[in-house]
Amino acid sequence: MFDKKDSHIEVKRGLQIHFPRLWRYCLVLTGNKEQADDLAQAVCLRALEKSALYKPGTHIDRWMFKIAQRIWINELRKQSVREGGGLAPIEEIELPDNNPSPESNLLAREVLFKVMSLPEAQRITVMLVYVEGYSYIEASKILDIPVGTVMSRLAAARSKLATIINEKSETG
Amino acid sequence: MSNNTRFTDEELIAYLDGESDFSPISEIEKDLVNNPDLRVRLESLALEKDKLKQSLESILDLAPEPPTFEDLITDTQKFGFGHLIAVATIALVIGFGLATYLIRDGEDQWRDYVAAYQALYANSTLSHIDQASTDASKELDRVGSAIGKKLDLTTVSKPKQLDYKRAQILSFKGQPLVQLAYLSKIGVPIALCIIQSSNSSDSGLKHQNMQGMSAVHWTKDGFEYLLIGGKDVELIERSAVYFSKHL
Repeated sequence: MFDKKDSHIEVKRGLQIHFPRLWRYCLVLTGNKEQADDLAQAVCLRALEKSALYKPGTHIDRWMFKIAQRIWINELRKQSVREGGGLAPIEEIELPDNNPSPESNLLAREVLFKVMSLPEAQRITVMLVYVEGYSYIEASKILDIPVGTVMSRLAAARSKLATIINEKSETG
Repeated sequence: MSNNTRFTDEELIAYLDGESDFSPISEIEKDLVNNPDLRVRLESLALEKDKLKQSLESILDLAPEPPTFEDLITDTQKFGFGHLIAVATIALVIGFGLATYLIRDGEDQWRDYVAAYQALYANSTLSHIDQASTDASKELDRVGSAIGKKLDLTTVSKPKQLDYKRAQILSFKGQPLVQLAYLSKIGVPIALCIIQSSNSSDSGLKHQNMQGMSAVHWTKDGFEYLLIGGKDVELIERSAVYFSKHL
């Protein structure tokens, strides 16, 4: 056990700082905004509850993603499947038009759609390795799978993604 | 053997991803020199990760505000963490300084609440109080019976460095808790709190700092005690030695 007060404070601060990334991960994991909101909130609550287990100074973001994974797999996903939730409402998500170039906005929307079309296992691996920038080993620990599985998921996902991303960037 | 099938897709992707532990990098690079087929294959596996990353950046702007601590407490039932609700109720009464003590489990928790409560005390909370000894004695009888302990005014008010003011019954998770309130010679509020103990064994005096105040706690004869207030460590320790012997 670590100094509970330090752990708790650092967990609170970490949640504040990393919340957008956590929420994005939850969005990719669950496939829709409402469930992403719920899951992200559940992660915050669980992280605070378990803050005594968090060692101050270690990687809180990885810890958060791991908690998200666990809660989704062990608790919420079953409920979601039962309720008929699943992939869908990504079309409903209006991406903010931060980019002055309409082509870039279009690309962003298409890439997001493509990522969300991947099977869950592939898209969360892609998120962790190619978007969040974790190494294969780090991703394998977050997802609690062998590194070989990380690699085969990436291989499967890449061929699907490459067509849209590489093509568009050539013409854009 | 075709050089093109020597490496798996996974190995080539690991090479492109810079994962030296999972890719025979030097062999791939050796092969690349003389093998245009391998180069073509690598190119077909390439992925513009920057573009991928950039495209997903904009989602970050869609994220809602992180939940506040208070939001999380009111939603605990949704996620099955009902025990936090009791804490929330008390938090509303005593104030959110409790947040840092929230996660402490078990029988020690009552001390955290006492400390948070004591932190609210000022000199003016008690300075106007001036009870006649008969009233003070009756009050002590009343509060003492709430926890099943005889409290004697002479004993309670004996320490010269502490000016005894009053006693009251508080409640922690449905259990009665007695608070004896004092002012030090320089007017600092100090409290001695007593609660029935579930521990069968006595403990020695344990010193700590709680909410910036000096504190000593101990267990004796089926009761737990906490003496807390101010920053005069010696005063608290001396007084604790006295109370632990005589109460």
